[in-house]
Amino acid sequence: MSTIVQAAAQSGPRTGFAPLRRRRRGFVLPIVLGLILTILVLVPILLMFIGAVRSGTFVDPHSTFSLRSLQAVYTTWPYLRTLGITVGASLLVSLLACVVGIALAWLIARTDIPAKGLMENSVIAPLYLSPFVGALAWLILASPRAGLLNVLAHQFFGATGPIINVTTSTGVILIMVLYNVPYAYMTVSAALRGMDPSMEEASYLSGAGVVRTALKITFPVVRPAIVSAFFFVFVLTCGTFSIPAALGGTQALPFMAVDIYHATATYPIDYSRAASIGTMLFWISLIGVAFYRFASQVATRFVTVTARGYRMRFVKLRGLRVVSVGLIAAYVVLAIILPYLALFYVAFTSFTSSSIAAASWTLDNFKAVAGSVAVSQSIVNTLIIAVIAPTLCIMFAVWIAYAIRRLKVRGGGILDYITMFPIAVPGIVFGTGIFWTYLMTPAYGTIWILIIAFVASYVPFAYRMIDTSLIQIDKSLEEASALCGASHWRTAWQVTFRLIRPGVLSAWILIFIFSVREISAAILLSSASNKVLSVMSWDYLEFGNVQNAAIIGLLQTAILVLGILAGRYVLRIKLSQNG
Amino acid sequence: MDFQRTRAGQSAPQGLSRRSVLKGAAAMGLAASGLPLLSSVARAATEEPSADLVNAAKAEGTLTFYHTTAIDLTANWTANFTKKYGIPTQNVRGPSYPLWERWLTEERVGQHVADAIQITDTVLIEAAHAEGLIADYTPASGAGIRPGMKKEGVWYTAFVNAMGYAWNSQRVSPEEDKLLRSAKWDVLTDPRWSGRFATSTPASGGSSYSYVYMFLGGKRSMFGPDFVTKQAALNAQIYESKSPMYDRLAAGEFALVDQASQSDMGGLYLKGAPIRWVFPDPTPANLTVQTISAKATHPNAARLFQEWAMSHEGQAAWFALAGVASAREDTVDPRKVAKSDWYKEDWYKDPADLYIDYLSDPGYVDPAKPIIGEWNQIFGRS
Repeated sequence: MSTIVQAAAQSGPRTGFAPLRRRRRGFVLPIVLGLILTILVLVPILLMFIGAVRSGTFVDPHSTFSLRSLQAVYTTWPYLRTLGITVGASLLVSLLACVVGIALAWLIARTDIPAKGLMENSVIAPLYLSPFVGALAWLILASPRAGLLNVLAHQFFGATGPIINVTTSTGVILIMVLYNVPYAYMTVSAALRGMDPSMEEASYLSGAGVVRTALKITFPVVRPAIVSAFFFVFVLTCGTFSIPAALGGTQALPFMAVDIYHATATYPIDYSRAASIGTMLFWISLIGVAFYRFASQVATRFVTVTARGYRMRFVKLRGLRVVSVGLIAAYVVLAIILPYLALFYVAFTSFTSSSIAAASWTLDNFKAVAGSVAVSQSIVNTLIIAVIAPTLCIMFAVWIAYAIRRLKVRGGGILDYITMFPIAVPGIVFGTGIFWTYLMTPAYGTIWILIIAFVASYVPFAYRMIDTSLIQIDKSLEEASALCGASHWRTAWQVTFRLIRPGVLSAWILIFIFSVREISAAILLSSASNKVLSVMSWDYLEFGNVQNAAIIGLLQTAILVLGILAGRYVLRIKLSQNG
Repeated sequence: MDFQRTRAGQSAPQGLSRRSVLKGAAAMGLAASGLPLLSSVARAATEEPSADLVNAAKAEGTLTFYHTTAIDLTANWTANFTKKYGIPTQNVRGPSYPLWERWLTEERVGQHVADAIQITDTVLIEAAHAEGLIADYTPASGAGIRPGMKKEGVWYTAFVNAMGYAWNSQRVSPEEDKLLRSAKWDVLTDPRWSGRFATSTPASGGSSYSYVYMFLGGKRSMFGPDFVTKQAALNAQIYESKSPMYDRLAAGEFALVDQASQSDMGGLYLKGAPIRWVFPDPTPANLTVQTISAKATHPNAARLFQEWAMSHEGQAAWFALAGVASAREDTVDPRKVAKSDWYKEDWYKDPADLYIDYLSDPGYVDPAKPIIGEWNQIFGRS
């Protein structure tokens, strides 16, 4: 993400790669890749579709072929209503997250706002907090009658009703926006930095003002990135389970992913209904992914980095500086500071009291968590998975991207599509598919089923980031290596992989963050010996132990921060440009 | 393994020693003399698992236990078993229905993960027993479990949870507090609780189902749909799981909740939460029952664990952690005897008329659980 090299200069001799491509244009590599993708991605999705047309589970002796669930889900009002609300709310979340993300990206990338590094790190900091734990924190802060903010407003300002209520549809949407802003920010920010500022300079020299330049020059150039960010957030939101579930389930805001969970968690357990809702969600997400793919491919074409040096002219905010800093500070307070304060508050109290003055302070919760064998095991499992899953995921993504982009293997387009499929499958649905795929294998009940699930779920993210890095490397560099007599693998190892290293490491960090936070699939796949921290926090919350759930959330953050610090200072990886 | 089961389960004569003969004689003598406490002590002594079973269990080395109770509480409970026999346990917690479905699926495909399972729905266990998935085992300590709280050889009650209603004393007026203390079910239909009341869906687990079953099933003539309709009119917040509802009650999000179980309310009370609870008559009670997987990977460890869990010692260990009624007559919460904790409060009274004899009702054992559909309809849930 941090290295963007000339993308435009793609002309030049093609002699170096041509014979190589001819040699590799066989069938072995695409078949091997196709087989791995089939097992990893297609079989779980296929099982979801088969599960939707059965009356019970695959192992239920009374289960038969049935269209009952599909018919109910696709033709009856309650499900169609939930579909409409899910799509509508997701579009709204995407729109709001993009508006905030664009504003923040523009402020940090294009203005003279102070402390850019700190600002950027603050804006992407919500990535280190599990959205589920963030929602839990907001429940403590802003439930209508017992929310700390509402109680304080009543005590200090005499407010008679809730000033903010996260258990409403508006509340759920706003919390989802808060935790999706970093994705929009990162995508748009990268595009802004990849843009040649001479175009904006020309606009200013022609007499256009800041707003006119932003609207007429900057915005059109980064528009594909914005569209890409919009559909990326849309797809993520459509499959979101943890935030609406933590904030009141379907009562606050009917959401398809929550319906799927309820179908598998309340009586009568109905996997067929869950799978049917999953198929519907799949189609919706697939449309979103199609737009996302198209926009992100266009966005990479718009990268206009030049080799010549330039000095970025920053827009002077003058009097708006304070307002701008205030805007970023407000976001950071809402997404990070208040939630963490709430988590620390409940972690140190014996029960969730709405009155801070009357709270019963204790260290017992920490002692209980520290003495819990299950928590110790889940920390170890989380650490193991957080290292292995991103590593395997990145290795596989590099392999696919290199095969498709550089070796031009047969069926590259199909492989590209299949690799991107998991984005269209929400974690909770994909988790169900993985469950059925590996139920009868030795991987079942071990940390390996989680690693497989995470690799399959996150390979599209890694692939897209690495593919973008590959596109942005001028092929003439590799061709020069080949012309100098370097072997194919030597060129790949010493030129290509070295140049995409920053992108690869950034992708690793992103998958590391996802792997530590993931909850939807992990809940379905957890067993006695593979519990991870996210599942522990869910288990604690489900049993009303908000205190321990909060401590687990804080532990997750500690692991994420330590991992990112290690990445930054040991491997010199950055998720952001300034940070 | 079968050998172990026969010997321990049916208390067949085994290694008769002078000590065991004397214990037996003493127990019979004490029982005849009408000294129930001493009698129970003697009975507990005869309920000790055989040395063969203990050795076989230890040789298996570990136990995987699927349960529905609180994570840390259960871990502390099973730690007592581990301490006594040196057999570590792997505990897996989940809500009754998904946990049970998970176990069924695993068994059907030959992934024998769980050795012992503890859930809140006897109907599901009996269906699995009919499918041949439940071990036929009669723990010697099961003799101490009250009749009606076990199905010999199939499931045994680990503990009984009575359910009433609970309120946050800081979210009600003195007049409302007085009304709530009257311990009448009709209190729950008072329109004053509109927007201040929370409940849990009967689809969430066996205990919620048992609670709702009393109103719409077993005691339908006394309560019925009219009662539930009045509750639905209160614009209640409906939870998919009871425990988060209790947490929100303690925080003051709601004034009143139903399905208030003794163990959970007691736990919050001990943490200092402003919680009070009562048990109106009749009081629905739910059994948390334990069973053993027919193809358990650690069958002897599972049998030994059940022996311990159903024994006076195992039940007392649970009492030390959670305030619930025991399924054994000889196990009484020491706090009750000492009149400590909530037993000293003037608003607290033990449940007097437990509604527990519904386990064989045709309506209750119907696997379709039609009560859930009716409840959903009344509460306007699809």
